[in-house]
Amino acid sequence: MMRKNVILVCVIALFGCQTVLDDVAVPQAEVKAVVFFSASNLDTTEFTFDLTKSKPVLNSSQSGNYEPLEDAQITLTGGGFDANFFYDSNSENYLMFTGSRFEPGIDYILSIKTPQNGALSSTVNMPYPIENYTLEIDSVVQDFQIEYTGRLSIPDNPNLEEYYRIEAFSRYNGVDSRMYVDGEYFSDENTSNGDVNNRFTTYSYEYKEGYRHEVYIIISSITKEHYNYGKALENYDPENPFSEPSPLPNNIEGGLGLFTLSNSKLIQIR
Amino acid sequence: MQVGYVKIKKLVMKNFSLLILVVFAAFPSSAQDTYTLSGYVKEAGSKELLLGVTIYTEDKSSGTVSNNFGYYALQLPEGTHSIVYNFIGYRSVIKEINIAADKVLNVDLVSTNSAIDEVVVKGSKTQKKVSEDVQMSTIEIPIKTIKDIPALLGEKDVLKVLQLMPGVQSGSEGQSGLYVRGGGPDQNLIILDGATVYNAQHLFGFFSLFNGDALRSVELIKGGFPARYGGRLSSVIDMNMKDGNKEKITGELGIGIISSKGLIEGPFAKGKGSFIVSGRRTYIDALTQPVIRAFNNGNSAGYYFYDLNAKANYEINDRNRVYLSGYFGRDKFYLKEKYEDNFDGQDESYTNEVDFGWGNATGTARWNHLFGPKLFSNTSLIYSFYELAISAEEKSTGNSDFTLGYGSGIQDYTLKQDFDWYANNKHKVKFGLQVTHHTFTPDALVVKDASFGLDIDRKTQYRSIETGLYIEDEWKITNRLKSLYGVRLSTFTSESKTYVNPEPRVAFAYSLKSDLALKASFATMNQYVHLLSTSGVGLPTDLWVPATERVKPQNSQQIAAGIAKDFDKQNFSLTVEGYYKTMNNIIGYKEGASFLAIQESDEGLESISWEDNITAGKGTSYGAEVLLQRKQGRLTGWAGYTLSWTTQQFDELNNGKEFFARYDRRHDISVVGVYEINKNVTLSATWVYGTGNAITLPISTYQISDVPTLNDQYNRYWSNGTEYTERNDFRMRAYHRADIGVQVSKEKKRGVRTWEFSAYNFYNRKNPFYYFIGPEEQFNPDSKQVLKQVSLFPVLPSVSWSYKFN
Repeated sequence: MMRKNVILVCVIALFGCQTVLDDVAVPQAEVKAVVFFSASNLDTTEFTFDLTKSKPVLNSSQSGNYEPLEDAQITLTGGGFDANFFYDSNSENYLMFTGSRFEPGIDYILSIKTPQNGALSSTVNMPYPIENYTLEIDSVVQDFQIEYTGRLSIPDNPNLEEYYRIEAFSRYNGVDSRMYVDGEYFSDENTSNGDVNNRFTTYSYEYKEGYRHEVYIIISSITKEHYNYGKALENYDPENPFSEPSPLPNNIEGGLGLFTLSNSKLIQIR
Repeated sequence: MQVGYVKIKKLVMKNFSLLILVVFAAFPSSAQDTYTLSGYVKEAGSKELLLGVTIYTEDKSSGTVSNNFGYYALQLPEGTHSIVYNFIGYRSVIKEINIAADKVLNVDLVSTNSAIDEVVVKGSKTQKKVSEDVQMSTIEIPIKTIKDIPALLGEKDVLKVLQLMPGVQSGSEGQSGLYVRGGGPDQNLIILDGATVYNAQHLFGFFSLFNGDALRSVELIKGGFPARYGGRLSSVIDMNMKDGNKEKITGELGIGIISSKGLIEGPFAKGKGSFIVSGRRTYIDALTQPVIRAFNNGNSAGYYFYDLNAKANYEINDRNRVYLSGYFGRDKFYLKEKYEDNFDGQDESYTNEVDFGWGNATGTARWNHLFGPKLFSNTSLIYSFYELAISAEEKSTGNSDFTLGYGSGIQDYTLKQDFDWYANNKHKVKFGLQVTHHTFTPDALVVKDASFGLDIDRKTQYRSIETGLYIEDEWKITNRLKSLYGVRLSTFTSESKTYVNPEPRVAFAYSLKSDLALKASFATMNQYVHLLSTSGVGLPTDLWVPATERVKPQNSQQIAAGIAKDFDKQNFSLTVEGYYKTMNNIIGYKEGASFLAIQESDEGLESISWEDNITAGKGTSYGAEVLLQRKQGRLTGWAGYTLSWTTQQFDELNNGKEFFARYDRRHDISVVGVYEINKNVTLSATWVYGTGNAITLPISTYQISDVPTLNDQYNRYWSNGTEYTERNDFRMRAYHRADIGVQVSKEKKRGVRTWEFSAYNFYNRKNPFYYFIGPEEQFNPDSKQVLKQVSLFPVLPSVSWSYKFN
């Protein structure tokens, strides 16, 4: 992108000039509550997320962190859930403890009421689990890097739009570190021979010989909103002044952010 | 309208052959006592063929127009007639003829600027009447006007003159892209001597390929398209190169601030043939090279463009002529760096070379043949090519460590057969066939990196065949009512998919008075090639791709109606037109998509298919245009006004909601004046005004997460997200600008020398090029963010010198 704009930038630098537009009526942005809450069937007992405020772009400073919203009333209902979140000032997150689990096909409603930023809500249907999949993984060790190349095949249900995600993380001394996955999001849009096929690559690193990490793969059935958001994030490039803007998908009514539920399988690579 | 179109499509498909038969059968054969007067119309002195000359009997009982090769044919009853030959910029000629058999009459017209006075001329300067032409939404630009109008840095530019016409909008400041009646720059069919020019821009659109010196005619059609044209939705820009002076060698030299140009033309083969060659090259790179080397450790970098037009023609005999013409142009940006170092006692050198170039090439071979005075044939073999090529190489001590090559382009071979059949005084028929073989190369990538063991060599290519079979008839139904109707049957085959689309076209003109006509037209167009553009700037990296099974052809339906009025005494013409256009299957990149996305598949590294990156939608444009024009006299020029609305709707953009197109422009005004103070001094001025472009503005930022499946707050990646206004919901400031110029000519011993002084953006208006948001105080991180405008060109004076050899 840089290279193709070099000459244009030169022309702008040669002739161009900047003017502050202080006499133009700019759109006024309201401060909105922002929530990103993701969970899966693999999560138990404790759920957490943070709730922050958006910042207007114009006529305000962009320095500093996003301010947390501390006084919201938050509930998660649906299936076996009817739970309230509470604010933990140490972590600046909202927390919830429950013994319930997410059930496939059930709608779950996240409701948030804030004194200053209005009411937010989002409803998500828990996806069905992945069945009868085939997963093959090859690995190549090169110096400190181990490259894992996987092929995942899932029978397609022609009556459903299906969306999937592959994540990976390594565990060492009980600490998890997420791994970059190339080919993270895929769908049944280009299904061939009745199977949804995806090839992905991920990498782990050994910082010291003999100290091998445990590597895990998570394959998830996800919602369409989750898939669209993930794909949009892959191409997100808001810094390029010449490209069309790429707004991120949002499924929070009355606010900004994303509420996702995934039906996942955790697989350890041995 | 879509339902109606489908019905029309079925009807026309079913009866296409029948329609052609009916059209032919409808013409009664000529009565025995009428004869054909035919011939060529040429410019006195140079013998250059003149196209678009109006030829009619003085009582206006019959008339015609010379075709693209200067040929005309007129049916006349036996007896004596006064025939008027009339063309803008030339003195009218009236010939008295007595006809009792088919007769050939070649006529020379004298330019109103010519010093030639030995030709017998009867008649006066007369403007071509817009009220008599059945075709609407058409603008012819005299080449002299293009040369007279002041231009950015003195570089005369055909496309920028077209931007000054109602219904035609420019994109951003200084750009030569055209947005015609709500269509994108890819929806314009730009043809030079019959060859399609895919990227008509130098330096990212600040200058166009066409400098005017080698051009004979420029015509813009915005609606009511004749059936002989097809393949684009929004406009046709038909340009023809000069044939070259058949009488003597002449030439022209020009030196400007950023470029120089030259032209030479003359006869060969004893007056039977002529040639013309013109070229232009910029020298910004040569002038700036010492400075760049001084500030860059002796390393060089630069940019230049050049273009070359050439044409030759030969008259084999009275019935046969051949033409060979071509265009070749290229832009190139280059960077060469060399560094030397000493590593562990060993001398090492590193070199880095980057080339970034793009260019067009066209070639046309044509054969004109007269089967008889009534049937004129033109056979064309056409080549058209556009490519973008980026290369980079890094070497250390002679080894090639890294090489990158990226290219994209399109290559066409076209065979075209056109016939002009002068059936009788009521019917003038054009019919023909065009077959084009396209080779699309959306991307070709070669990467070799010794350090990482990278070796990629891949190329995506599509081959397709596009055809167009057409017939049109200009029918003089009554003395007051004329029609231009026809149909084009277009087909496109790409991979395993074939599209077949009939395109009905019809236009009517009804004369209320001798100088006042009502006009209406309807046209359906299909476009089988798409331009994928990642920005509104019009970069050469935009990709041409074909319609495929998944990506359907774009199509449009346009209706237009208006009036045309001539004010003969004042030499003015006035046209007022309204139009309504719908466009379907227009394409755009999905939000955030990129053409350079690469993924790994079972076959190795490959681009994510461009088809996965795009989304299809529809557009609507409607509005009204007013053009008051004066083409002859000491004061010439025009005033144009456009009131228009252009909206688009894509299911996958803006949450499926309709939005204004980026170049939706509510008001667009242009005023152009050229005043000849005397034979040697010409003043010119333009003023343009346009509503600001519609853009999307960021309104707030917020913290975003990559939402990992596990509810793990500590393993999330956080980043900044942006909330925007609805798509294109914010208007930039209005654009307006005035340019002025003066040309001072002087007769010299061997020709005419001209100095031109001009000023672009005379009153130094800071027009918006783009907007961005940044801190009010540059180096203060706590400073509040404000909206900023980048303006491109302040007042830019220029001077140029030219010498035209007699």
